[in-house]
Amino acid sequence: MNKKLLAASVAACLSVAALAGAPMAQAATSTLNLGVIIDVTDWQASSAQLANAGPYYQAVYSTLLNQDANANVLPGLAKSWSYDKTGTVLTLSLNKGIKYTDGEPFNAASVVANLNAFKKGASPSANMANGIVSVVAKTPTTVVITLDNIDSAFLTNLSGTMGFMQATNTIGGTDAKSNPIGAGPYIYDKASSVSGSSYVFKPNPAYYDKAHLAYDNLNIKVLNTSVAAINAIKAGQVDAVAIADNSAVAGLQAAGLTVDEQNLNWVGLTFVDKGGRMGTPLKKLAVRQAINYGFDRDAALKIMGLGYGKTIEQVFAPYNAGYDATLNNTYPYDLAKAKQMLSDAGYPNGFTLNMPTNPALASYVYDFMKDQFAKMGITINYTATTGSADFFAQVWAAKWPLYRMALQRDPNSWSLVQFLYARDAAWNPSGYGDATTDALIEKIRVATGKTQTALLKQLNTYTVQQAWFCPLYAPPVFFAHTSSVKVTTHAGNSMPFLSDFKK
Amino acid sequence: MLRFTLRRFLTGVALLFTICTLAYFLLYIDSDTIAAGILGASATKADILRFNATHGLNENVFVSYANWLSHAITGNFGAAWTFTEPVSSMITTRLSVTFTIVTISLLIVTVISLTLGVLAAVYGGWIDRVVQVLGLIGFAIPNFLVAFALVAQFAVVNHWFNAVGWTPPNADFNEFLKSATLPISAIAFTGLASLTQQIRGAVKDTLQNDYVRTLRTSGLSFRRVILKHVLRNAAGPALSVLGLQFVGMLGGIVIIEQIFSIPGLGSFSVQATGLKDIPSVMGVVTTMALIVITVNFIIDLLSAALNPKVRLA
Repeated sequence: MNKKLLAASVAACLSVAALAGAPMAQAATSTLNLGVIIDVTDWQASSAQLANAGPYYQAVYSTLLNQDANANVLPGLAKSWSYDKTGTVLTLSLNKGIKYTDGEPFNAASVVANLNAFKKGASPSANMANGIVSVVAKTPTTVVITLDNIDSAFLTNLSGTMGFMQATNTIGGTDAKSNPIGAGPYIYDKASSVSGSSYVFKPNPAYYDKAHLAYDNLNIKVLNTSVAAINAIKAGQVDAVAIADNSAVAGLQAAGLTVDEQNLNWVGLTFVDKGGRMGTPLKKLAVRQAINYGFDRDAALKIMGLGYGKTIEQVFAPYNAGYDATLNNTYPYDLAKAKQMLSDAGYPNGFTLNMPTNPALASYVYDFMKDQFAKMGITINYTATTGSADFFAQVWAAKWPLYRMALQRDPNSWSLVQFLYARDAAWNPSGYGDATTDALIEKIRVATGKTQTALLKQLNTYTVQQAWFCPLYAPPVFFAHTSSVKVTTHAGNSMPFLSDFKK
Repeated sequence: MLRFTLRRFLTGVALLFTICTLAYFLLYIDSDTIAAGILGASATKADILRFNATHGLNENVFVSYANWLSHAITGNFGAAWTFTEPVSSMITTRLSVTFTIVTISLLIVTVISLTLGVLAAVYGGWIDRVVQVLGLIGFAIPNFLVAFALVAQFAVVNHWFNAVGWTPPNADFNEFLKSATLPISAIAFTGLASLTQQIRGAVKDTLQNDYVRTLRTSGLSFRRVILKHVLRNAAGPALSVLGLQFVGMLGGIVIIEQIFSIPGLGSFSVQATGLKDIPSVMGVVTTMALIVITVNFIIDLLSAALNPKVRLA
């Protein structure tokens, strides 16, 4: 009897194992299985965001304009666009005959409703619409947008977060947060999806731009831990996923996966007290330049960045208009020169600077920086903040003469200027500027094309020479994919757009 | 038995009320801190006031607690701050996932532990030694390490099971087996050690009682003595451990759901806490407390049914 029981148990176990372990059904070649490291909490276009959440919205919504992988603006739901002479009135000409997946026609009135909803919406990028004075449907296929000022990032924004178009009748509806209706390449299959785990998308038979659609179907799997993301792509459950854990890259490559690298952010020091309001030596150009010479960027990359990334001497990224490769050797590491410059500037015995620390960072980051400054004869006194929020609050309050940060580099250089260089920029806490930067920024604001690029290059060169910052390295973000998927990394976005995936 | 049941029920209700009250006041007592934490350091006083007004944080905390409690009793935990669905709806959806994993794990643990524990106690010898060694291993290795090992071998190398994700059994049973086998195995692994040891010890103790020898000499078969008498008497301590196992599994599921990216109550609690979604956190705390209290209530009733002496406790 015992033997019979044992045999029956073994048979049952084997049958379950055989059933569960049966070879996985071959995925259709036209299905993209995408791993995404965050879940979607609100599907409304007015709550949309890009980066890692981008695929959710790009799947179901089309944008007014499109952008290629280099962030160049292309026609989308709007087939053409033009600005008036002032650069503040934008006219969009819409494609005819496009319908949302619920049958509602897409037209100018829908654009008006969507842009107004975005302006008041919960998207973290809602401030993109702050400059909109009015949006008017001139004809069913013509929209006129009036801005309060020239905004050279506006078209890029219409090809991104601000440009997602949701069916007008669903805007603000009770169902819109969980059941998106758009005119995108796919239709969300809520019944086949498991909220928080996997989202299934069927093809939109009426999609207006099928020629640029590589995959018929899309499955998004939520992988909200680094371990889950790595295991999922190694096990073949997803074709592609962003990798947040740098130390996993070698293992993924060894497993035969392709890992693309993009250097979106920059890490370095921001000299807040360039104006000398706090009475520190950072007011002197020679001191700021000396620190740039005296900081060993290779060592910083190796120790602070664990060897991942590239050393940099300018904030502008290679994908930014205004980037100048000749600036890359402005401050070669030369400790003796740094000390000499400090001595010449009147600090032969060094000086003391106060800096805040963020507990979110490992202590070795701050130990390394302290050591680098000590080699130059500069003593650093750290003051701990209680967390990232406290750190940001103190930095924004211009409480400290310098700080260490990792900051993004928007592909739109005007956005980068507004973010970092302008007197009212979020990351120019002391509101510092001089006549040269003020004039350049004003010219950049109204300039376009090659003229603007040349001005941006001037601003970049000037601020590098004036040592506004001490950029150290650009850390990478990684995106892993199988050989069956061809992916182009997207300028300025950690996650490729859906249109960047090809079979 | 009725008095015992009533006493245990009222104790459970009082405990649940205490937990909910403490949790609510700890979470809601400082509304300005809640708003500042969510809106960030750059939030102005006006932003904080607007947030408080929108989320009902400007009410007196006793009034808002009474309001919350009156709805919570009906199973309505209100609207989430960051999620699109109401808290109750999200908890119901995710609880079914967690409950499936924990219940199956518990069943597996019970069946295997009962078999191994009885065999080890009755036959001793090599079976007993194997059970002891397995017990040690089970105690020594945490379930998340077991999860990593299972994924590495059976998902990444063999591709037999899924490394991540969840498919409900009613959607696709084959996919359910693929998605559920590894997390259930990981959760069950550590539970096996303690329950097997407990059953082994209890059965061994019971076998040494005089009445067992009397029953054997009266002509009853060994199998009948074990199944009808020894197991009944050994079941009390085992049931207590089973209750503890369930609570332990509910705790362990949090990290297992993270590793396997499973949308259960554990990962929801992590998500809600990270997003500072206080109504969701409150819903999770209440639900978890209710489950633990209910399971303990059931275990108490079963213990009392098996052993009348328990009713006096």
